[in-house]
Amino acid sequence: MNNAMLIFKMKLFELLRQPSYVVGTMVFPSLFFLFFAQPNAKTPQAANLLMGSFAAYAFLGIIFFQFGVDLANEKSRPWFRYQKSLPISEGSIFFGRILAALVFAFLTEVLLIIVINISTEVDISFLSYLRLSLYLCAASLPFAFLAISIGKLCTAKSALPISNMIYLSLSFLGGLWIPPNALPESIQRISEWMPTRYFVETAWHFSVGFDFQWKSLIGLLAWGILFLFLSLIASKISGRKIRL
Amino acid sequence: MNKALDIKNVHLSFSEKQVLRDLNLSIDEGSCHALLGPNGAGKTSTISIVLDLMQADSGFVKIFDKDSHSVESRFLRASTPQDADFVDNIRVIEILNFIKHLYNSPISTLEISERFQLAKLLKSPAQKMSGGQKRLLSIAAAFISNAKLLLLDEPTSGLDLEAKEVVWNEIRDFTRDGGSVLLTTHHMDEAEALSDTVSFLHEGRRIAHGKLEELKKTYHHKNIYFSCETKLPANFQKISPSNDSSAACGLLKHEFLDHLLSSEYNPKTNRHHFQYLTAEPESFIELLFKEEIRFNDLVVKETSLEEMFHKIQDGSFR
Repeated sequence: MNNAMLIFKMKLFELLRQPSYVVGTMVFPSLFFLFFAQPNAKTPQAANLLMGSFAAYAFLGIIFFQFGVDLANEKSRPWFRYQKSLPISEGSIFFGRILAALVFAFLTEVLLIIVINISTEVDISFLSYLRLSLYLCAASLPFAFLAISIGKLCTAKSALPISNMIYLSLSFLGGLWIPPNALPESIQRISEWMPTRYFVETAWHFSVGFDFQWKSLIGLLAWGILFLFLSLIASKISGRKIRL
Repeated sequence: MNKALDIKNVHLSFSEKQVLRDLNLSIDEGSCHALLGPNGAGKTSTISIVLDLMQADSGFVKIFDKDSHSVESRFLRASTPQDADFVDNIRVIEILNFIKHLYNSPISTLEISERFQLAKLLKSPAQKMSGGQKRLLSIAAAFISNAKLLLLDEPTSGLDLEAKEVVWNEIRDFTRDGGSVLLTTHHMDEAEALSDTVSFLHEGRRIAHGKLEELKKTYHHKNIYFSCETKLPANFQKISPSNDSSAACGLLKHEFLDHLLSSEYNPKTNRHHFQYLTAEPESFIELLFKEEIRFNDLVVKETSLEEMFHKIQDGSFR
């Protein structure tokens, strides 16, 4: 655990000292909300629903980029290769990184909460915000495995477009931008099976007060196992000769 | 004597390319072994396999009797990356502290920074330092671990003379205190100055190895430099067709021609300059005297490690 904290500290220092990265990452979901979702948040319930959706979207984005794109970029950096030679386990590196990613995602969510509170009539209690945040932290893990698979298998150049394609498709199909009932009917049928849909349904439970559905949690867990399996295969393929 | 590192029958290939072929290498505790060879010889691949960054096709690597894949072995060795590149926005002190905290009995950050001329740079972002300073930091990162085996991949490339001296002294002190070092280098002077044993790698194969002194004895050849007037024995004509001598003396035995390294004709002085490499410089010179070949500027020099390597590589030693 100590080693994971060392990685966490290093990653946090690395990211916090890049103002363009901090501002860009943290501001993007709030801006996206203001441009495309705020006009639809006319009632407190609609605002609460969009709060849950965009908070999930913020977490998803940070997890995808910190694991998928960053990991692919780091493969070509000698420092990260050197780090693999140190007496530190893959598990510690993973936990350190995910902790840093979650701190960023949480800060992004806090900014989003402020923006939504200022621009809409959102009505969520402090405790619900806290529950929502804790849930998103834990439920982001399956997507970290998916992003790791991308990072392990893609080159530095291909990781960004591929991550974007998967991340944006998953966001749209899962109903993170537009509520699922507003999606075209054919998309709605696909949406029900999307990992992001399972992910956001429980988020809505905390932000809107929808009934908790075990189906959503089990569905996300199943996707999580699949993504974990995928990341293990990706690690094996990429590390056949060289540990990446 | 305990073995700090034991590499046995290691093969490594990428697709069709054989990177390492049946590599065997061991380092005694408290000694420094230099791995020499041109680019692509397999030096960095060897280090990567020892560091468990690459998976060999066959063979095994042990570090103080522990399998190189084991967790315990990771605490017994430390390395310096070939490219001194650091993570963005991280300060020197943070890098040293990070590595220090991973090992069981590290050296203090302050002490190591003073030893490696980094004390004044502790708060500087590592990535913004000069190439030489980054290189020093990467070496300090290996030493701070206080691990028993250091794997130093071209540690002094890009260092100025003063910094190079600092690193050399650190390596000497480290081995004197019982530490072991595997060093890869292009600089033969570095290998000569630091190592107890050397291995020459060529196209993934170890073509010669042993203690430096023993290798020098085995390949006890010397360079002979001299110059002659243009009128030369016939055998020399083979070397230098511009020679106008028709008096073929046949004085120098043919075997000496095999040891010819270079010949050059200087039209200004009207002289030929020769360089030979031979195990028997005395007989060579005796023959020159005996046959009254008028030579000048005779110099006999020890073979450098670099020349030794090149000659082993192209099979010129006989």
